[in-house]
Amino acid sequence: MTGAVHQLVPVLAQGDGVSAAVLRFRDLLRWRGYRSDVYADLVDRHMRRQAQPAWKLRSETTTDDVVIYHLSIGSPLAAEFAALPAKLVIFYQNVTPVESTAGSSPLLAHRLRWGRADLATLAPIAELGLAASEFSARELRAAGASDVAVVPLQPDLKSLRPRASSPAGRPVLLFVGRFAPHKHQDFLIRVLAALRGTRSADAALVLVGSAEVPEYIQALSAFAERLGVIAGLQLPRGPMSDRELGELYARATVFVCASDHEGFCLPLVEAMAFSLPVIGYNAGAVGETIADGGVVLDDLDPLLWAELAWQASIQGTVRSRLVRAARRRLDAFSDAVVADKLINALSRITSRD
Amino acid sequence: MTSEVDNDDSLVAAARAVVAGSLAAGEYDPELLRRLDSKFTVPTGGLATAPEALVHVPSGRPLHSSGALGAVTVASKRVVRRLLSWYVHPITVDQSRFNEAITMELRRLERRVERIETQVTAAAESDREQS
Repeated sequence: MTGAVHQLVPVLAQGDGVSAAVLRFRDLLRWRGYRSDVYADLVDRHMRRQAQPAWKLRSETTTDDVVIYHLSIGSPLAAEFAALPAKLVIFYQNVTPVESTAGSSPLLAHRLRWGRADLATLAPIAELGLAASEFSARELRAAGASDVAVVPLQPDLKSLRPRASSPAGRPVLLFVGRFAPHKHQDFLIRVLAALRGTRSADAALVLVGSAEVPEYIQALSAFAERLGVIAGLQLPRGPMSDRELGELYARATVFVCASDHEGFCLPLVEAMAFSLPVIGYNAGAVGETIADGGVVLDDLDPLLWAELAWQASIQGTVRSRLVRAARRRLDAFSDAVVADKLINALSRITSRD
Repeated sequence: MTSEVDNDDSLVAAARAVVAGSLAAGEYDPELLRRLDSKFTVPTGGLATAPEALVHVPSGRPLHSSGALGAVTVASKRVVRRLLSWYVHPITVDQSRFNEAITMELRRLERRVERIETQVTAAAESDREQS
């Protein structure tokens, strides 16, 4: 392959999973000898050195180059991507169905609808479709992509500084993800109530993520109050650095995810890097990402989740087994594995010349 | 694998048995069980007034009539609406498209302003550092 492999993304922001994965892909591509840059429409001021303005891409690409467009939300960039004189690859990061976010934010709903429309436009014209999971790959094929490959995402573990979690004694449940109804943070509060009411009165739940609708966090807080567990609930007080997030992973005893729609769920892999036992609800790509690296549940019974979270938190055979499983599973997201999958997928279009 | 999906669910089955046993033995506080059933309502929030929420213009509003001939009136209105739909529907579609375009343009301008603000802040910071 002679050309460069560039990536185009609507937003590059600190603390955003897609942005972290884009930068990891760039590093992997460079590691394998490709010229690779990131172009973005909106760039977080902390990440200005990491990306070029999106408008420059058109003049800097040739027909030998590959441009990967990351689609997770609607953007005017989609139309500009479609007109680029390059080999077009769409990386479908998955667009949450609008129904799953009902009642949260009309703005978000609008961008998601737009994202679905972009998917319908771009999937048939892309030479190659990439997806982080088979779950997303199916949607990409259904939207009209003829050639689709699965390439898992990779978190930026260096900035999190992973180390084996060292729980302080009491169970500390952790979930990292945007505050949105489909992520079901409310269910995790029920699990906290069940855990405190049955096994450990001092158990805690730490919820980390950005909130598009402040009222949603207030509603969760009021819900925890009603369930009598507000003292055990830790909600975000503002933006958090990767280092602070790493501290939370290191202090947690178990990672829990009750989300009913995830295209991949990068925090699951981050949790595995901290040797955290992982419990997830079998929806979207969660079951695929966890695979044999943790517990995947088919139902949302707070008492069952609380019992498992308790067993995963206390020192014993269950915790050891889940910690080992998490560590083993992490190998599937190593630099070599992800780079090989990405390069092999891209070679499909470059070998067509 | 401890996933129920692949039927290797010894860990989950054991936990399920513990929960079922405790429930059967009445070991859980009934007040806790009642609280766990509490309904969580997703707030609609102030963002319901974001312009994107108003982009789509429906071609019809809910029909109602409170008079003695309520049902007849509603049926008549429905007929009139259907007869005029060939005229009204394209207008609402065009209006929705225009709303969408103008909202996108506003958001584009918003992003442009954000970008310029960021550049101005950075330039001011660098000026301060140099002086």
